[in-house]
Amino acid sequence: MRHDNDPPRRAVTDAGRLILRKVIVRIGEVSPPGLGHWSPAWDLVHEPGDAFLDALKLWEQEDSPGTRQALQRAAEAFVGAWRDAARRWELEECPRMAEEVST
Amino acid sequence: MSSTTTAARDAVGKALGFRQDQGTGTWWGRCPRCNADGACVGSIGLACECGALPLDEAVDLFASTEIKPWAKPPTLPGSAEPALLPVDALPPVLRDMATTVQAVTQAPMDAAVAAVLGAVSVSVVGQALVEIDPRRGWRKPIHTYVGIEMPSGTGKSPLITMVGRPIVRWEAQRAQAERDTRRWADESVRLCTERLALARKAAARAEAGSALDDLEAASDALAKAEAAPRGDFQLLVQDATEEELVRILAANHGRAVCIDPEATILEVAAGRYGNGDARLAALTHGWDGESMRVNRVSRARVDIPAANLALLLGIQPGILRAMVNAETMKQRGVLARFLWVSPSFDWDALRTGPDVPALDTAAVDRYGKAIATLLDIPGQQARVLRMSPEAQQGVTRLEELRKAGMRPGGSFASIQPWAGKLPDHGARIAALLTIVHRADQGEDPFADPIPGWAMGAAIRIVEAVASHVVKVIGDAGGDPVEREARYVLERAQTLPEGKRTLRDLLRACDGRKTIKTMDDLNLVVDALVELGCIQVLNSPSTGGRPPSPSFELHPDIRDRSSNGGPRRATSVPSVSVSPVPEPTPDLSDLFEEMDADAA
Repeated sequence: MRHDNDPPRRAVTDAGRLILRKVIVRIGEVSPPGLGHWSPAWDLVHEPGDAFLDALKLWEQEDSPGTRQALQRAAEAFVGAWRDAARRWELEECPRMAEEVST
Repeated sequence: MSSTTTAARDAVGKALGFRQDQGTGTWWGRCPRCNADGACVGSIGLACECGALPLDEAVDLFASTEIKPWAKPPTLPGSAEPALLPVDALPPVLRDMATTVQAVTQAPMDAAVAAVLGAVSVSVVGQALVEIDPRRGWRKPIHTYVGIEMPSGTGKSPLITMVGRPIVRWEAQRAQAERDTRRWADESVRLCTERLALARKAAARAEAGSALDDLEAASDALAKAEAAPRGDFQLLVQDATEEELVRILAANHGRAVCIDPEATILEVAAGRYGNGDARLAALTHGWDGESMRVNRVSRARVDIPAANLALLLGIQPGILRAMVNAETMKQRGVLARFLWVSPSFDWDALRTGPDVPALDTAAVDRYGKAIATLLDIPGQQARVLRMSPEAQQGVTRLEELRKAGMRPGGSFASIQPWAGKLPDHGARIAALLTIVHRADQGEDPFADPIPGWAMGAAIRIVEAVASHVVKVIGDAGGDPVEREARYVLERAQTLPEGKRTLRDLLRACDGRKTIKTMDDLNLVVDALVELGCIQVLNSPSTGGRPPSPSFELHPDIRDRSSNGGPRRATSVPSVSVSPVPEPTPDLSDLFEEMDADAA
């Protein structure tokens, strides 16, 4: 594990890591716990996820306004796919929530 | 009209998609036989220009609303839920630790069992080999890789942090102790370097007869000073590239470990942060304690006689799924080296607030002392832990299990690379259970052979782990029809009562690439009917637009929802989905942190 007195390291790969962490945090914000156990979610996010990783790779190879824009769009689509999966899961897979609200 | 007749009339009318005259109750619509308008369904039956059909025959043909008795309990498609890891198979020091960390973190017990096993493995990396079979010279390192697949928010991080804490603390203490000697070590190197320079000059001038001896002595002294610990001790790595991992292995006599709730080391190795190329040599060699030689263009060659790497990792399901699907990770057998667990998480069983038990500090202390004892074992001697006769029989049992499971249709058919190492996995677990128990009891961990109880416990644990491995890395190669059946059944369970027609089900499968048409769905539905999971209630009509058949789920399946309780017939989703698409998430700050750092 990293220690506090370890010097910060900055490299292209670290930048990619930062981006990925940011996106993962946003995915965590839009998707509730337990969603990962619902297999339709993975079908919904599969393609946007691949597109995001492809865009990340291109951006890591060349940081330009064009690759940045493409990466941002792909990241937004990826997070949006998780959010949509969460909406469908909440609508169809959480009767507990329905019971709490409908009483 | 009797209520039975009314019900039958209405059932036929609905099944045919007719409209009901509210005054008379008669249903009117297109005849399913001749497709002419003006057919009606009344108390007598179905009447049309083409003829008449008595009501009871019309019911049988178009509205078989009676559910036939379920012939048998349903057989659920796809792989069964993984078995629970037997916490009672652990020695007391691990059992009590697993119990208390599970209780305070509320993570699943499977994860706690795997985590404590992983921590023991990390503590003894590179310390010994286990002799699986002396007749075959079959020896393997006792450490292993443990992977816990859990999504965020289910206790994975606090669990792994708690069981790893004694190891982190030990490493920090060791690094501090070496740091204290660093000043003298650095000074010693400088002094020896200067002495070597002086000796070299003297030897060149041949001023003294012993100049060459002095030169040799100064050179030896410098080499010794440089080899002394200089405060760089590091055992734990987290997100190292393969180059850094090799450097740490080389600097630490071939030993390195990783404890990480997010498995960054796997992502890095899989090439997600570099140029996409996977670098898996350290992961494949490190499990087997094999030698590594690393040649780099700009640096000296690195030779590691025995690379020993132990891993205790948590991993998000999506990340692991991507690795399972990646050919490189599969082909190089990296995933097959792991003891994977993928626990189920029961939100209903979750305790909150004062119901959460307090930490058993005595258990934590006992566990910490045992781990520290293992970490303090000095040196890298070639210790070999042998099997007792009883344990050796257990090895034979593991080989028999492997053979039976690897047959076509066997339980290991979809996880053959992993199952091929079954005796290896079992022997390592037996070794880990043995030595941690002995460390807890104050005995020499390596003095005696592995006892029968340890191998028996290991067999129970590895059999349970195998069921998790099937779930984690086996489904990708599982039977496709079963996979589709499992998916369709899950979708069917989400449909509220009153919306259980095949057309509704097809709509619910929207987005599934393999189920685009009713024909695709019917194939899967037929399989589910065979398994006794559903009954199709309505027959399709013989002409015109056929009404969509409805279906009924087996009561055992219908009443099982994600929260374990029965669905209410009148349940209404609490979240209303707006017909207007939601705005795209805004990630305009995606590069903010990176640009700020660069500035």
